[in-house]
Amino acid sequence: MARTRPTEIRELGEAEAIRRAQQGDAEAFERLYRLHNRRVYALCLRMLGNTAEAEDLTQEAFLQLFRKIGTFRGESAFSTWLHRLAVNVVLMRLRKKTLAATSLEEVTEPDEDVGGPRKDIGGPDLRLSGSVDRVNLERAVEQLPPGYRSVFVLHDVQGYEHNEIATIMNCSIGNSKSQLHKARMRLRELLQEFARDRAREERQAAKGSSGGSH
Amino acid sequence: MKGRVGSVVCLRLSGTALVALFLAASVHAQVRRFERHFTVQGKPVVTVQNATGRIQVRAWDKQEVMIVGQRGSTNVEVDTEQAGNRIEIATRVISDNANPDALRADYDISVPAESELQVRSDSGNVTVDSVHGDMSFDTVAADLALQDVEGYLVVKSIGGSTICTRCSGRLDATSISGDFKLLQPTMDNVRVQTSSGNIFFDGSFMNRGIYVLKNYSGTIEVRFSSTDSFDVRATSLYGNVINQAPVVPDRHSMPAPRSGLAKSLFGTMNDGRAKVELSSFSGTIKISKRE
Amino acid sequence: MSPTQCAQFERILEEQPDGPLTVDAAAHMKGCADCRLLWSDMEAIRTVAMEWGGQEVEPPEYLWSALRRQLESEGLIRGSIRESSQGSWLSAWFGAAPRWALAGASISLLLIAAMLAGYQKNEPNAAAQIPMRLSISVARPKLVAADLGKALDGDLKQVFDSLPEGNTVLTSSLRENLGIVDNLIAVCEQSVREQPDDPMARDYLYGAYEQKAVLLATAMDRSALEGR
Repeated sequence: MARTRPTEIRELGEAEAIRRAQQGDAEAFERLYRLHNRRVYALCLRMLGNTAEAEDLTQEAFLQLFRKIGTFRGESAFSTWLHRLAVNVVLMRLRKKTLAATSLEEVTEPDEDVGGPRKDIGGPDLRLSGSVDRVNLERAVEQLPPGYRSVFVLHDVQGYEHNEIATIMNCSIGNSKSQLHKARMRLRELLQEFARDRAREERQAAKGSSGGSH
Repeated sequence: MKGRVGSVVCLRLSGTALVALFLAASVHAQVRRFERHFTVQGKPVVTVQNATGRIQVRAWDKQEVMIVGQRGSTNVEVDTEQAGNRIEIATRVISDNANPDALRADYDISVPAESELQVRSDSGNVTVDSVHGDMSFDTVAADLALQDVEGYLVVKSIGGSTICTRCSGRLDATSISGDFKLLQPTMDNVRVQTSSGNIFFDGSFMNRGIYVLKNYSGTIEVRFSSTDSFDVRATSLYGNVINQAPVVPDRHSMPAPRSGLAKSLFGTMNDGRAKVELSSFSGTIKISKRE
Repeated sequence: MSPTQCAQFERILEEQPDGPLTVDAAAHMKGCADCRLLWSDMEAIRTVAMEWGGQEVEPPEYLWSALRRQLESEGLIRGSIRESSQGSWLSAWFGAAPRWALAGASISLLLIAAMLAGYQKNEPNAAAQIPMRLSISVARPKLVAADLGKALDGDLKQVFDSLPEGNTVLTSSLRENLGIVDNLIAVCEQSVREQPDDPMARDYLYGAYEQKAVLLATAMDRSALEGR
């Protein structure tokens, strides 16, 4: 097979690039990387909140993909397969950071249900809509448990549909929707805490600047 | 009389002591036995890291991963973790200054039939039965036995030997001194490399399949039947090539041997639908007819 | 509004987090400040998240270079810089080894192999087969090869001394296989000396050095040095 000139890289369709990559073609690998790297990197970055780790895991996800590309038979969308790999890689990293003790009664993602959204909804707390900004939202997302974080980032941030998330995360569509709702409820609680902390700091700052002695 | 009574008492005491010891041992054994259950969905990924001890993986029809094991002593701990559909099992050594049996952990793992496996073992045999999914094995001295598995199989071994029976999919395997035996495989891509080990392949060559078997010393033997269709390139630098296949020389213009020294065979059997490359530094290559 | 109705509202949100609200849910919300607040907060979170997602992020270019190098070292990329058919010896092995150790070991071994491949006849062609990332002169091959060989054996000794004490099977297997590989290298070197023009002999020698690098990487992976 003749070597492809660099300018031809952009013209390679995904299916052809996959086929050529399965034969070990360097340009085909690069084409697949260029087609998907932004989305994978964005996913890793938004889930981890850290550029160094995001770079590391982006590389790891593509490595795993290219090692296994010979087994891809087109039974699912290539991008879905890749994003599943990426999500697994990120989840493993997140789980390692928050290692939980095991028990005989362990169920899937027990952390997610313990201390989850309160049953008393929409209590007498600060309204959020004026207080949600990206910085606070990113902070709050970093505090979400890994499973909630995955679904929220995939759906609300990256724009995946629930059927895609179900394939990526190996769960049902109903589960994806439920996890998303719980993730948003937890984010709401966290954002409310941030807002309360800010309000408290402002009050203390105001007290301090007005003299304080009585 | 007194002596006889004394003996009886002695016997009773010994018996009691024995029973007590037995009970203590049972409790101890139960303390070292462990069991874990993980509910999974779809196709889980199961990773196992174990330095010493047996690992046995079997498929079952539940959407659950069950691990039943035995620790050699309290010098090792078993860590298990679930992240979604990924189950990680690792043996952790608490105190290294112990005899090898004390550092041992044996695992019996039941997984859904569609599962991916990643196994790392130093010594202690690994067997996998009837699991379908990609698998990777990283061993030093552990022997590996795969039966009725299907998927992309990657085997990295230093000294352990591998036997695959009725395996399907694809195989990439390397070793330094381990042997490889592939019995009745239905694989369309096989790459096996060992330095001083033997390679034995007795199965079908699939249409458009690629089979690359390589070693330094030892024997490479492939068996064929009269209906097989393959191009073969067999080269041994200092050893021999013994061929029983009625190949027609050089039908597909394969490249000429790069060594003037080597014993070589280039040819096509039937239509040459599969590609078979056999090479050895000083070993013997045999292409034998299946009886 | 009764807690039951509010709980039902939340259940509807859970089942259809992306909306639209059912007629009943919308009607409930009109009369319930708490649920209106909840819905408003959910919408605010969604909106900001969508804006966040709309921002392009570009990974650094060096990611591709690093990835490509790794793919080449694993032999997954064929028909690129390294044309040697022996490249496949390394496929799938290098993924598990610590990269820094592997880089050191493999470069040492490649240098040795390159020296040995080139020094008998001092052919420019031999140098051209060396992977482009090595930029080294073949001026004093014998000395360089001997020094590098000593350095590699030094690394191996350190690694073997750090293997876990309790696992004698591991240690003895690694040592035994090291002996096998060293014998292999000696035999291949002899072959190259006798047949310096034979490319297959050189290929096998190159492969034998790679096996030693793989053994070193595996031993490092199992030793107490890992993670330092």
